[in-house]
Amino acid sequence: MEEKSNLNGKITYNKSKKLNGYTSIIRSSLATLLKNNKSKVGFILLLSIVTFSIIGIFYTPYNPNAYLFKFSQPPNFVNLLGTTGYGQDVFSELLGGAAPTLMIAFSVGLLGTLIAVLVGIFAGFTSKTTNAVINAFINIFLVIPGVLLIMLFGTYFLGIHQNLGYLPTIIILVITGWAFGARTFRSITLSIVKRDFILSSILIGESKMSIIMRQIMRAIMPVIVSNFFFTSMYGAMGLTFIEYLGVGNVEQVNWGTMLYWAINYEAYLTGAWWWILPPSIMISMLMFSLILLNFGLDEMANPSLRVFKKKKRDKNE
Amino acid sequence: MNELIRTENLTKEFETRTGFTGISKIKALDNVNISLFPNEIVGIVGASGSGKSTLAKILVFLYKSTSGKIYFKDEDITKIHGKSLKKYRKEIQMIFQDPYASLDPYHSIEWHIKRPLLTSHYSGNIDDRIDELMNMVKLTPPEYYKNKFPHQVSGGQRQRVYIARVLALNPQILIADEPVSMLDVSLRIDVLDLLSKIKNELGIGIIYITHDLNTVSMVTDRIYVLHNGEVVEDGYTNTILTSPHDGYTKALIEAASDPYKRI
Amino acid sequence: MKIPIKYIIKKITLFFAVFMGAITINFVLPRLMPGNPAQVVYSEILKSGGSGISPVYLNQLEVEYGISKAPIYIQYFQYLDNLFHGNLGISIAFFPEPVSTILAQALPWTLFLVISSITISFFIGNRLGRYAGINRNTGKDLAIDLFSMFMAAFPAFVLAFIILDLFSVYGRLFPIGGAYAINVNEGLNIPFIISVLYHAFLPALTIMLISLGGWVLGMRNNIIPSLNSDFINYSENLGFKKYQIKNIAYRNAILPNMTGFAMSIGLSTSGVIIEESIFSYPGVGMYMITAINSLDYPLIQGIFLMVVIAVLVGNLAVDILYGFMDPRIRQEGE
Repeated sequence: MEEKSNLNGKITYNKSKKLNGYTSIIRSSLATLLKNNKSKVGFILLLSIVTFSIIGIFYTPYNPNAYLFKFSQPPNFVNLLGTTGYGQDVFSELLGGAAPTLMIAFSVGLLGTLIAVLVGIFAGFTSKTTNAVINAFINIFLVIPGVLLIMLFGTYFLGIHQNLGYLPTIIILVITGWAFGARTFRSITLSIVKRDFILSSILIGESKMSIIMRQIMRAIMPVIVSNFFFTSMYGAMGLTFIEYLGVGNVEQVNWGTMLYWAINYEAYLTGAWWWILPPSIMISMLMFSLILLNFGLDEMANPSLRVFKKKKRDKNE
Repeated sequence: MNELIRTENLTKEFETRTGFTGISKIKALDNVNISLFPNEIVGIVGASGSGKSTLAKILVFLYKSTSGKIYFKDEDITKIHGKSLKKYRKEIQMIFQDPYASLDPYHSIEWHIKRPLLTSHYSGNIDDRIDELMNMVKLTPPEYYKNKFPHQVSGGQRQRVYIARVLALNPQILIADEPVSMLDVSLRIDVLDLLSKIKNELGIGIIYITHDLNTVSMVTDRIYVLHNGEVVEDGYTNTILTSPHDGYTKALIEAASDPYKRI
Repeated sequence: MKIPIKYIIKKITLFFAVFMGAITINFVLPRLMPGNPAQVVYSEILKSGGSGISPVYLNQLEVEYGISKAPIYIQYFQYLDNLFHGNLGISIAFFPEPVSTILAQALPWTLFLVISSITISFFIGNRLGRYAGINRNTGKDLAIDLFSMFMAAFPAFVLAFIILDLFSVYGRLFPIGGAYAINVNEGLNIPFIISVLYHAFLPALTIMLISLGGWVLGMRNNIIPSLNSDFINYSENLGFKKYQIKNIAYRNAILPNMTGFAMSIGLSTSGVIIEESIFSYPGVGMYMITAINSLDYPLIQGIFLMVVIAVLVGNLAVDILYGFMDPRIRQEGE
C-alpha cells in the first residue's frame, strides 16, 4: 500500500496501512508470547479465567445474591460448591463475581499504567527542575504505604460507596498504584534520552512529542506491557484487601467480598472450606497467570534468562 | 570573509568534585579558533580526550560553551535558542561515531531518511527524493534497503544510511565525529569516498574529527591538531604531515601506522 | 573517604518533601468530609448505639479536632504545632488513652515481628534465589520458581487463616493469639522471652512465607546476568575456585536487593496489619483494624503518620548507606 503525499510534503497515510501495522504488531507479539513456556501457560490460564468470567456475566446456576438454601452446606449436586453461611450458592457467587473482579483488576492496570507512562516519560524528558519536582511527587506516593492510604480514604468515604459502585475502589487503587510504574518509566526514559538515536532525532528537528510518540514508546513497549500486568495484579490484590477490610462496598458480589463475608462469618473456624477456598484459589490463579506472563515477558526481553533446550550443564556449575 | 563557521576563543570547562568539598575545573577546550569554508574538508586531529568530540557537540549545541564565540556566516550565534536554533540546526548536522547506536532499532531505513524530509517540510515528491538520496550514498537498489532494519545491514551501510538522513536536510555543514573509527578497515574507504563526493558535488563544508592520521591524510584539505583542548598546529594537510612544527604533532605522525615500519 | 554531600542533601530534602506531603494529607482528609469530622464521629457513635455520650462530648470532639471558626491556615499551623509537641489526640475507641501512648505500646511489637521475619525471609530467600540462579533451567530451578510465584500470588490473609487453622485451632500446637502468655511477667526473664517467641512464631512464619517469593525471584533474576558475565566466566581460568566465583556473583547481585530490603521493612509495617489482626498480635496493625472498625479517627491518623515516618526514615537510612557503598555515587556525589 503506497502512502500518498501531497504537495506540502505532508504525508497522509492510507488508513489500511496503519491498521496493517498494528495488527501485525499484535500478531507477532502473540506469537512470541506463545513461544515461551512460562508465558504460554500464563496466557492460557488467563484466557480460561476470562472465559469463566464471561460465562458468569450471562449465566449463573442461581442468583448469587439470593438466600435460597440451607446454611453452610458442603458441596452437593444442587450446589456444586456448597452454600455460604447465609444460604447463597457459592458456585453462583464465584461465577458471577468473576467479571467484576477482573474488570477492577484490569481497569486499575490500564489506568495506572497510562498515568505512570505519561508522568514517567514527561519526567524523563524535561528540564532538570521539572524532573526533580516530578520525582519528589512520585516519591510521595511511593513511600506512603498504599495500604494505609487505602484505609484512610476508605474510612473517610464509607458512606459514598452505595451510589458509585466500583468507582471509588478503582480510583483509590489507581491513586496508590501508579507511582511504582512512574518511577520505572522515569528512569528508563532518562537513560534512553541520552542515546545517540534520540539525540539524532533532536538534531534532525523532530518535535519532542514526535520523539516521544514514535520512538520512545516503541522502545519501552515491553516495559509498558509488563507494568500493565504488575498493576493489574496490584488491582486484584488491592480489591481483595479493600473488601477484606470492609471499606469497599460489601453488598456487591466479587471474589473479594466473598472472602470478606466468609471471614466475617469465621468460616475458617467452622471448617467451611468450600466457601473460603474457591475464591482464594481463583484469585491466586489470576495472580499466578499474570506473574507467569510477566516472567515470560522478562525472559523475552532479557535473553540471558531464557530456557535453552540444550544438554545438561556439567556438574561443575 | 565567506567562512561557513568560525569560532573565536571557544572555551569549555567541566566541573568535577574532588575530595570533600573541592570542585576542580577541567578545560576541555581552551581558546580554540577554527574556521571552515564551503567546499572543503577540515580535519580535527587529536588523541582521545583532547576535546574533539566536545567541540563537535558544542557546534551543534548539544553542549553549551563556557566562553568564546561562534559565528555562522559572520553572524554571532553563540547564544541562539528557540526558533533561530531550529533554523540553524537545519544548516549543520552531525554524524555520530557509533553506527550501531545512532539509528533507531525499531524503525526501518526508509523511515530514517523520510523523517528529516518531513520535519523540513520538503516540497517535492518524498519517495523520489528518498530514492535519490539512497542512490547518492550508494545504497542501491533502494527498494532492497528501504524496508530493512538497522540490525539487518552492516556498519558501513548504517553510516551511509545516516549520511543520507542528514543530507535530506540540505545542510551547509557536516560534522563527522570519528565516522569510521568503529568500522572495519575495509569498509572505511567507502564512507570516506562518500564524504569527498559530498564535498565536491554538493559544496558542503565538512569538519572531519578523528584520531587516525591515516584517514586524515586521505580526505582532508586542512587540519587542526588538538592537544589537551588547545590547537597546537594548523594548516594545509600535506604541509603539516610532511613538515610538522609542533612536538605533539610530530609524535602523532610517528605513532601513525606505516605498513613498512617495524618497531 | 569521600562523603557524597550533594547526594545526602538531596535525599534529606526529599525526605522532608514527602514528610510534609504526608502530614498535609493527614490534615486535609478529615476536612474534606461533608460536615465536620467531629459531627460525623459523634453521629457514628450514636448510630452504633453509643450510650452515655452527651452533646458535651460533641463539643469536646470539636475542640480535639481543632475545629474552630479560624481560617484554614491557622488551623493548619495549630495542627502542626500539636504534632511537634507530640500531641496526636485522644483515641476514641480506647478513650481516654492518648494516641501517642497507644502507639508507644504497640510499635515495639510490630517492629519485632516485622524485622525478624523480614530479615529471615531476606536471607533464606536470597540463598534460595542464588541456588535457583546457579542451577538455572533445571528442575530444581523450576520448582523453586513455581513455589515462589505461587507464594506471591496467594492472598496473604487466606494463608494466615490456613496457618492459624492448621497449627493453632486444629493442631493446638501454638497459641491462638497475643504477644505473650498471661501468666508471665514482663521483663528480661527467660519465661517471658520464651513466651514471646512462642507467640510470635506463627505470625512470623506467615509473614516470612509471603515475602519469601519476592526475594527468591529477585535474587535469581539478578544473579543470572552476573553469572553470565565475561568477568565470571573468565575468572575460572584465572584460578578462582568455584565457590569464590559464586560468592562474588552473589555479592554483586545482592546490592540492588538491599534497597528492596529497606523498602520492604517500611512497607511491611503496614502490610502486617492483616497478620496481626488474624493472630491477635497487639501491634500497630491490629490497633489499626480496631480503629477502622470503630471509626477512631485520631488513632487512624496517628498510626498513618507513624508508619509513614517509619518508612521514610528507613528509606533515608538505606539511601544514605547506599551512597556510601556504591562507588559511583561516592565519586560523583550525584
